[in-house]
Amino acid sequence: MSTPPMSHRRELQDLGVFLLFVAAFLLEALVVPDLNAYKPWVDGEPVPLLHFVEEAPGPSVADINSEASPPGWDQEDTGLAADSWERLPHRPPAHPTSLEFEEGLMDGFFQGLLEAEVGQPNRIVRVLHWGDSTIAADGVTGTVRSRLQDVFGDGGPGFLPIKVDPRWVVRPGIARWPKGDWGSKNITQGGASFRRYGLSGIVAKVDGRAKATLGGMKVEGQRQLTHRFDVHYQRQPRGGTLSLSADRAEPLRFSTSSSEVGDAFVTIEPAEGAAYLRLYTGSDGPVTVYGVSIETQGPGLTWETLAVAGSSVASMRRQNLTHLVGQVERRVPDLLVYQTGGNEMEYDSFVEADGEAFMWEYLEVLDRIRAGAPEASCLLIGPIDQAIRVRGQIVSKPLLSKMVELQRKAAQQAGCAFWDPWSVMGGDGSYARWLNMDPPLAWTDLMHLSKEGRALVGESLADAILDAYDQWKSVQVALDTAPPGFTAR
Amino acid sequence: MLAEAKSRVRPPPVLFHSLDYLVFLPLTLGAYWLVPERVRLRVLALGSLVFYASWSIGYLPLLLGVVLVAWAGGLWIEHANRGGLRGQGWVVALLFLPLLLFKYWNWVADSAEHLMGFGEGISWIPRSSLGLPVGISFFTFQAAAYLMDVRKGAGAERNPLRFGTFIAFFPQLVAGPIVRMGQLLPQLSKPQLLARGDVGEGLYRIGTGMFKKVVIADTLRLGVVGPVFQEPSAFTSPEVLVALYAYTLQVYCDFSGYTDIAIGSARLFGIHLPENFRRPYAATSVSDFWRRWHITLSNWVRDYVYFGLGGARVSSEWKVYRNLMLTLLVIGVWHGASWNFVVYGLLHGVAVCLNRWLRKKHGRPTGKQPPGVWAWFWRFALTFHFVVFARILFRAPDFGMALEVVESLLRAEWAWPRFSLVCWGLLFLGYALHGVGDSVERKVRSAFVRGGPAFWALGLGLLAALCMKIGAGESVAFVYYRF
Repeated sequence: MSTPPMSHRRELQDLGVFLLFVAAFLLEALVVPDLNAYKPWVDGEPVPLLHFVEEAPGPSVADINSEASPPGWDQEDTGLAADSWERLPHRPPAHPTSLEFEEGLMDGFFQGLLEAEVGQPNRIVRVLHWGDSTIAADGVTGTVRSRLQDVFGDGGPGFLPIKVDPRWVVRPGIARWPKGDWGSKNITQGGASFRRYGLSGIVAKVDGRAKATLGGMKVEGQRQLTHRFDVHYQRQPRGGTLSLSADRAEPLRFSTSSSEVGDAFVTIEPAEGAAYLRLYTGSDGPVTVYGVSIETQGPGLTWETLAVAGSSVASMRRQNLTHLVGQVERRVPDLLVYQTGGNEMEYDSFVEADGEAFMWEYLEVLDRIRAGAPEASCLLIGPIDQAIRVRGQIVSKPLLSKMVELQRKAAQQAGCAFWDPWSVMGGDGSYARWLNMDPPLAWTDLMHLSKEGRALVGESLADAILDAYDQWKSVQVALDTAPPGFTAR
Repeated sequence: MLAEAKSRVRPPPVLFHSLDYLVFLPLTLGAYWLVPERVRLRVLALGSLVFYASWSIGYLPLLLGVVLVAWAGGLWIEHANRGGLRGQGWVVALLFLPLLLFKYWNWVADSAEHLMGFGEGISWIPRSSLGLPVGISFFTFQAAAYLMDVRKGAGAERNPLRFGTFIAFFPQLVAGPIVRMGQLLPQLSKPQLLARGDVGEGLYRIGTGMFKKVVIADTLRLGVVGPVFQEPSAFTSPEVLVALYAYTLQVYCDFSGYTDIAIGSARLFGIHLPENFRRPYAATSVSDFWRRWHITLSNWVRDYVYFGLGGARVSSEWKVYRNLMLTLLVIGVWHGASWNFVVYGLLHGVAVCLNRWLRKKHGRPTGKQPPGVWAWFWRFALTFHFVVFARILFRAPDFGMALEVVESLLRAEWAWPRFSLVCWGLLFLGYALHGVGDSVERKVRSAFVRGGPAFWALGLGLLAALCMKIGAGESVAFVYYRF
């Protein structure tokens, strides 16, 4: 088969004209300012094809494996003092990062830890940790909880809402089996009656017969025994009946009806401990439950995940203040932890000028959660690194350092400790590095850490807390104020 | 586990959807068509070597070695055939040696030690620390097919340059289509001329390939598939299910997008490459699926493995099933050195055998259309979902992750999946485009071809703008490059 030369020439001519048009379009994109976003190449980017000749070849897998630490990973990068750098465990690519706080600010919490460590009977150290999606997956909190419970004892899972939407928060390992028509509302989406969302920001409601079972973690294949169930619920006009039963014990049955809306609590303390608490609702009216706090006999620690994905200072301000204060007060916490920032990056109050207006919103939220436990220590945690794609490159969001600095300043003003996971990740540009690890430490959505990444941040937070606690303890030993039975680790 | 975390080596360079290729292709085309006819083959060969070197200059000698062995081996086999000599199989085995060493050695060693009960950290079989050369499965299979065809009596290629270009022709070098000697060598043996419509059709194929890869496949990978397969337990069962549909579409758009660009690029040189896909997810049986998906690999395995084992012309029916199972097993293991792919191949093998058994039982001949819409629909739905769920093994790095995906799927909680509107839109658009009939596609294509150079430039320019707007912007390597 032979193609007529004329048709070949015509095709070649078409190809040539097409290439000329393409060249014209490319030139237009390069010179017309309005088409900046469509420039095929900008100054500073690798020159197409030539960069193979110009650039040194990339590192081989063997090179990378032999590296003791990632590039730019040293003490000067972290800004840590030499002794902190020496003390804190090194977990590349995470940078060792200490807690930042004025002397005395964490004494209450550390004192609690000390009491639990020396085995003070029934001492439960309670940590309430509010946060956004970084926390809602329970990866950071789960890791810290596990590390600290190894040292101070397992105080149980702490506060658990009874019905959650797994898209907004999860708590692996615990027993939470709602049955029936339970519905839930959370502070991110709104919609709860009277703006009462409970301690965790998630409230469950049912009208009719339903059941819910809650329990702690499994330890050596057995569900751990709980010695204290504290049910947080709502009293309301025409409220229905709620029955509570710890394992097979006789149910405690009561009405949630009241002339006006308010919060109430019921405590069940099984003498021998119980694996599960079962809640039954009657068909005589709606029942609203905020959740149940679940604790062991102690001594031990609870690190309670109170996060909802998408949470921010705006959603935290959605809570009825009196209600929130009452919920926090009931828990008698030793440490309050607050960690949002990623979802506030677009706030006008943050983006505009110096962000001072945003800082006041942030401080107001701190005041709200601290109002229920003014004596508790307080820890603010900054955002993780997040990124955007710019011309195919993954770069950190430009305002992250501003957010970290504002939150650091807010912590100082509020008298709270501060911890900076952005620095743990390595600061500017770290998201791309974490994403490109094997296994990846971050997700491709450029906003969230992977399971491994969350665990690494959790380990780093546990390192920082235990280091600060050890430093505090060594001072107590020097002052001879430590309780009997205590020895420095 | 975290201590083992290491940076990935930077992705390989001249990707079809990169700026590098936008410069490389016109340069090579310009040089090819401007030089005298007698040196065009050299331009194509040189361009192909530069293309491969940009990926992995260290493995260029390996590619040249495979070319040399296959070329010399072909001549020797032809000589041996004439002399009635035996033992030519060793040449083919020699050709597969690098593939075995680079791709399968560590897996075989790990599995052998595991079977012998060696514990973690104890090892006596030496391991290879070398990375997998890009495209090794493709060019090895292409060269092996050549040798086996010569062994069957086809004439060996005497010109080493022409033979080298046949193996290393850059559009199909790293991810196929796997071209047979009869499909490409004759085209390289005569003066290349562009036929009417070659340029328009070539550009149309490049454009559709770019759209499939950059807009659909990469957006779904980053927005849906990546996060879900990274951590299935963090997602609800409807989300995992949507991610499986999205992954099924992603793999198709990724691989068929690559093939479109390869076929389109080759057309601009006046070379016709074989098709690799024929709306695979519209298949009504798993056998039908393999006649539509990665057609050049399926044909390769059919011709050299299935027929080599006797195909259906064997003494007993169970031997046919054995042959089918072995054939599908080879397809599975071709994709990668892991037990996931072994099970993937076996699963497909069982499905193909079951399909044959049912066909025999009901006396239905191969290739006959199902009677009626309902009969078509349930066969299509069953086949499609089999393919979708088997993809779990294809995507998950190991059994543990595959199990986690299945567990997340079976949690059976209902909540509307959290994916962006763009991802939803592309998911529906992708399947809709896949389902568009051949006649509609032909009409669109011929309208594009008739448009002329200005229209082509405008169309592809708008597509490039769309890619920059919607696409991830990252040069994400094609899925099949790793095979």
